[in-house]
Order: sequence, then structure tokens, then C-alpha cells
Amino acid sequence: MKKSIHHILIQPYLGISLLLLVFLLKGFLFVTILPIFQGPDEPIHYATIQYFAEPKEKNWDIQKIDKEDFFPDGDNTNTYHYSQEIKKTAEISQFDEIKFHGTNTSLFLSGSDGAIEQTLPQASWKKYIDSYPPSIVGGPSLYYLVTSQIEKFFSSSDILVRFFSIRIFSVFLGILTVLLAYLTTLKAGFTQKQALVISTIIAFQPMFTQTAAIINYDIPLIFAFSLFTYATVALLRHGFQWKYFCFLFLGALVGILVKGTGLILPVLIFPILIYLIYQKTDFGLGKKKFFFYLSALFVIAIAFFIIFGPKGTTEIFTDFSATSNFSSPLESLQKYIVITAERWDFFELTYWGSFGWLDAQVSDYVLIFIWLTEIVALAGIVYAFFFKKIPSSFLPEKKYIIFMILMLVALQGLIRFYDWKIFYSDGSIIIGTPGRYFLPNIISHFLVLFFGLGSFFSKKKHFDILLITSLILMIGFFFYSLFNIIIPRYYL
Amino acid sequence: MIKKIPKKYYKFFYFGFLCLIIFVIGYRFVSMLTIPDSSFNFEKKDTSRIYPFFPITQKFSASENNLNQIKIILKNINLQVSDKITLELNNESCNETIAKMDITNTSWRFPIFDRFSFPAISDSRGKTYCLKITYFTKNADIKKSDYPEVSLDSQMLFIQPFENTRPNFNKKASSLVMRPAYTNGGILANLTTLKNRISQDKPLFLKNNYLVTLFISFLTLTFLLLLFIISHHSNKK
Repeated sequence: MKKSIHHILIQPYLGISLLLLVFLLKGFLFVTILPIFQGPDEPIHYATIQYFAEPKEKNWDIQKIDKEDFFPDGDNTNTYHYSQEIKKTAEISQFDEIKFHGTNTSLFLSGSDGAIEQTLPQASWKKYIDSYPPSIVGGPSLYYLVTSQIEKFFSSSDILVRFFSIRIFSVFLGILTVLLAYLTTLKAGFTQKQALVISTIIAFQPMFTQTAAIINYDIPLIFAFSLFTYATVALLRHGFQWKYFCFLFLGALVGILVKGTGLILPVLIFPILIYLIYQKTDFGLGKKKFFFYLSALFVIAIAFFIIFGPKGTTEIFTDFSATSNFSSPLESLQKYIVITAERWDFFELTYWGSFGWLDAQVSDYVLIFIWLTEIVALAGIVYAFFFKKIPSSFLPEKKYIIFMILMLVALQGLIRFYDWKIFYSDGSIIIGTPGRYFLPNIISHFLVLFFGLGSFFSKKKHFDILLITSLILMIGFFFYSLFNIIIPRYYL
Repeated sequence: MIKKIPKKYYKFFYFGFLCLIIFVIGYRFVSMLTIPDSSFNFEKKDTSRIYPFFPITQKFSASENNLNQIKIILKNINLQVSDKITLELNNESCNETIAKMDITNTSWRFPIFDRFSFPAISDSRGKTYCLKITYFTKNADIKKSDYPEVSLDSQMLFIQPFENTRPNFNKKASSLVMRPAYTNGGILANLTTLKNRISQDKPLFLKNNYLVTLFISFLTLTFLLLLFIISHHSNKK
């Protein structure tokens, strides 16, 4: 009997299957706990999905005003050009009162049926937008094309069924991301046990959990980055293989089709290809000339992409025609760097634990602990790369870590460049780079983090103790976020 | 130290550590597990300083029986070792103390609201109570900017505006940002009400018994996953 239990426990797929099941249940739980529209930007994302689900022939009256005359008030959902159904639901659920107001909650009725449910039987609200310009998200649209099919499939059901079903779609993208985290960790050279621990730690990161349970195009972007990361690590490990190259290409394609930030992925294909080619041959040029020519080719390719790439996404890099309050881009850049450094706390907070409309926040003490851990990990990376003579056999090779650091730097650079561009023209921080914008690199982030921490250990068993301790702390952090922050904020 | 402990015993340390974390989180959760009055929300917020030894009071009427907690926002709390803020629940005339709690520099505070808990008052419905907040300090040189503050709402949410007894205070028709909370009799009854609240405005497949099943399954499987991982890592092979 004891032997058969042990046999079950050592099945290689049991651990990861259990983790994916736990993630599914955790996702459903988060889908339920966050009240309707209380995920960041959910009304406009859901409005965009409804817009994509509208019939092609719009046989209803549409009132139009000039785009220049349309100024929706951020504190009043009724001023947006959403469908009547969204506006009414937002009004009944007291959306404007609750968002950004940590002290406010819904008006709870006795029993388990809420105000929306009691109104729905008598309601015949329009599901389409009848005021233009519509309040929707512009840019790449793959996420909306897919989720609008869910909206259409449940078109005969009420808004609660449709809205929460689309949230559940995000959970499945989250499951794929966790699976990719496991596979990437394995490919990078960790053992199966370590891969399970690290992917569980990633799966329980509270902000990732929230992002994988709301209506937002961040989760498909996280999936795209994760697929890209997995494919690259596999290519670095096995050399060029069509299977992994297709995954790489697919990751980049999904990335650019769901959100502007995904633009960085096709650009990163070039240095990866250069490295893979160099592993095979340097064409008799020698190392220096090879990298010189290919770097030149890389720059030309980027220039080509910026000039001829899809407008609307590339012009942010090329268009400097906007007027500015600053005397020069350099002056604005200096000021932007100062402001960004001052806002580092906000960035950390919104990466790790600022839920809903950033109005349910974890304690500063938790953040200080995380911040100190990250500093130690950073020191470990410096130590491993520049001072440690014999690399630890239980840690990934440096090439994987260099690639992941490149991913982290590239995404940071892109988002902050975009943020600075707007700062340059408007004179104030508009986008604000909340930490969740950097969640697409969550796998790279955690692998780099554990590489840094692990570099201080010389024995695998000590590193394993660190991993299990980190796992317990992360699960504790998750439960703390759920039971001490999120549930009290919305319900107690 | 690590060398001396056989690997098979590591799991006991891991589970001990996990149990400690779960206990702390669970204890905090139970401390917050009351059912606050949700019949009003707060609009424009302001603050008022609490001058040392000059209490601030707010009268309010309980809407339910079993009043057992008051959620209140206190800000700018930089208490020295001998300082304290005393929260008192008094009778309507503000002269008879029903419950009392001190906040000192070692108090473990809650997110968003501070929570003033006391034994449930079984016949509180319809009765008027007076919340009194007093700041005590021995530091005579303390600057005004270091005084603690209460958060205020510009609406009249309760039966009377809040009162600040400090000299030269201009009385305003505003209320303390506070919420009375009630218990339904015990943890299980409060959890049932919480389940009902979470279930509201959710589709059928995510509410009531489905929600309870989801919660229990998630907690059970998470524990099993941890058991699996820790047992696996504690094996010699």
C-alpha cells in the first residue's frame, strides 16, 4: 500500500496537473470575489468586446458628435459612450462610488441576490453602442475578436453570465502561462521538483492571479511573452528547431496582435536568430566581424520595421512633432527619470499587490521585505556573473539568464520610452507605468530572481530549502492578499 | 545546524512555518469578520486633527442588534512609546463607557480602516451611541503637523455632526469616516453572511453552494499540492 502511494506520488505529471487544477480553482475564486467592473479598466475592455460582438449592419439610430468635443468624465460612467446595459449595470452596482475608494462597498441586500439580479428580470437594456465616437480600446484587436465570440455565444443570457464567462476565459490563459512557466523552468536546467516549486510560486503571485481573472488584454500578452520565453529557452538549449521557432514566431505574433507592448517581441527575434546562427557558423568572418555585420543588419531591420511597420504602433517611436513644455527632449528626459525614481514605490506596489482599481493595497512591510529580497538577488546576479569562479551546477547556464535579463530590460525600456514620450508632450505622467504592465515577463523575472538568490549557495540542498521557504512565503502572501486585503476591502 | 538535521525532518519545519503563517492570516481575518453597515458610502473626504487631550466625538444610531465593531479611519499616526489613542464607545450622553480600546505605537493596525472591536451588544438596534477618540501624549513639544487625524466626510451620515472639543474649532456639518459593524452570532454565521455578500450579483454557477464548494476544493487541493511538494523535496532521492 505504502509503495503504491509512493508510486503515485512520483508520477512526473501529477505535480503539474495538481498545480494547474489548483490554479483553475483559484482563478474561478478570484473571478467571483472581484465585483463586476472592479478589475482595472474592465468597463472599457468589456465595452470593446460588446462593440466587436455587434452585428455588422448597425440598424439602430446612432448619435454622433465630433471626437474633439467628446470628453468623458472619469468619475462618471454615464458620460462614456458605452452600451446602455453597461451604464445601467455600473450605476446599479455603484461602480463610480466604489472604484478608487477603498472605504466604499456595494449596498448589500439580505440574502444572496444583489441589486443587479433583482433588476435584471424587468430590464431590457440595449447591448449596443448608440453614441459615437464609441468609448472603446483602439489598437490591436485579437483579444476582442476572440472574447466577442464568447459574448455572442451567451448572447441570450444576462450580462452577469456573459461578463463572468469572459473573465473565466482569462483563467484559461493563466493556466497556459503557468504550464509554460513549468516547461521553461525545466528547459532552463532546473530539476522537475524545482520546476514545480518555481511554477507554483509564479502561479500564486497575487497580481498575476488577479490579471488572470479579469477582463483585460494583459493576460493574453502575458501568455504571448511566456510562449516567446519558452521557445527561446528551448532554442538556446537545443539549437535551431522548427518546432520551437514556430512557437517563437507565434508568441511574437500573438503579442503584436493583442497589445502595443507586444511590439518588442518581433524585434527580439533578431538577436536570438543572430545567436543561433553564430552557434552554427560565423561564415568565416571571425567573431568580431560577424557580430558587427549582424548588429548593423539588426539596426537596419528595426529601422525598416519602424518606417514600414503598422502605423499607430510604430509612430510613437518616430513622431516627435508634438509640441512640448520642455525646451528639449533631454530636459524632459532628465525630469522624467527623477519623477520615475520617486515613483518606484508605486511601481513595486502595483506589481505585487494593489488590487481592483489600485484601492486595495498590501502592507508596506511586505513590500520592504520583497524589495530587500530583490536587492539580494541583484547582488547575487552580479556575484555570479563577475566574481563567482565555479558556477553552481543546480542553476541554469548564464545564456538563459542573459536572455531573460534582455527581456526584462527590453520591456522596461519600451514601456518607459512610451511613458516618457507622453510626458514629453503633455508635461505630466499620464500612463504612469503601473507594475502590472511588467507582468508579461513574470517567468523571466522569477527565474532571474532565483538565479540571483541561488548563486550564493554552493549546495543544491540549501537552494532547495530556499525554494520551499519561498514557496511557503508566496502562498502565505497570496492568502494574506485574499483574506486580509481583498475580501475585507469589498465585503467586510 | 542544517547538516545535523536529517532531511526527512525538514517537512516538519516547513509545515510548522506554514501553520504559523496560516494562523496569523486566519486570526487577522477572523478579527475583521464582522458585517459592516453598507447602507452609505463616503464622498468628499477631509481630515481633522486630534489635539492632545481634546476628544473628538461622533454620535450614531445602530441599525442592527449585536453591534460589535466600529471601522474608523485614523491617519498620521506617529505615536511615541508613551503615547496612545483611546477609542471609547459611550452611551448616548457620552458619559458612560461601554467599551474601550487603546492604540499604541506597538498596535498592529488593519488595512484601510482601523477596527475597534468589543463584545457584541445584543440589543443595539435603534439605540444611539457616542464614539469618543482621545489622543494622549507626554511630549509637550510635539508639532501640530504630527497630531493624529480622523478622516471626515462632508455629508451628514449620522444623527449629528462629529464634534471636536479643541479650542477655536469651527463646527462643520460633517461626519467621521466610520462604519458600525455587527455580528450574526458567531464565525459560522458571519461566514454565511459573507458568502451571501460575495454571491450577490454573480451568475448562478459562481454563487451560493458552488462558491462554497470552490472555496473548500481550492483550500484542500492547495494543501495537497503543498504536501506533495514538501514530501517530494524531503525525500532522500
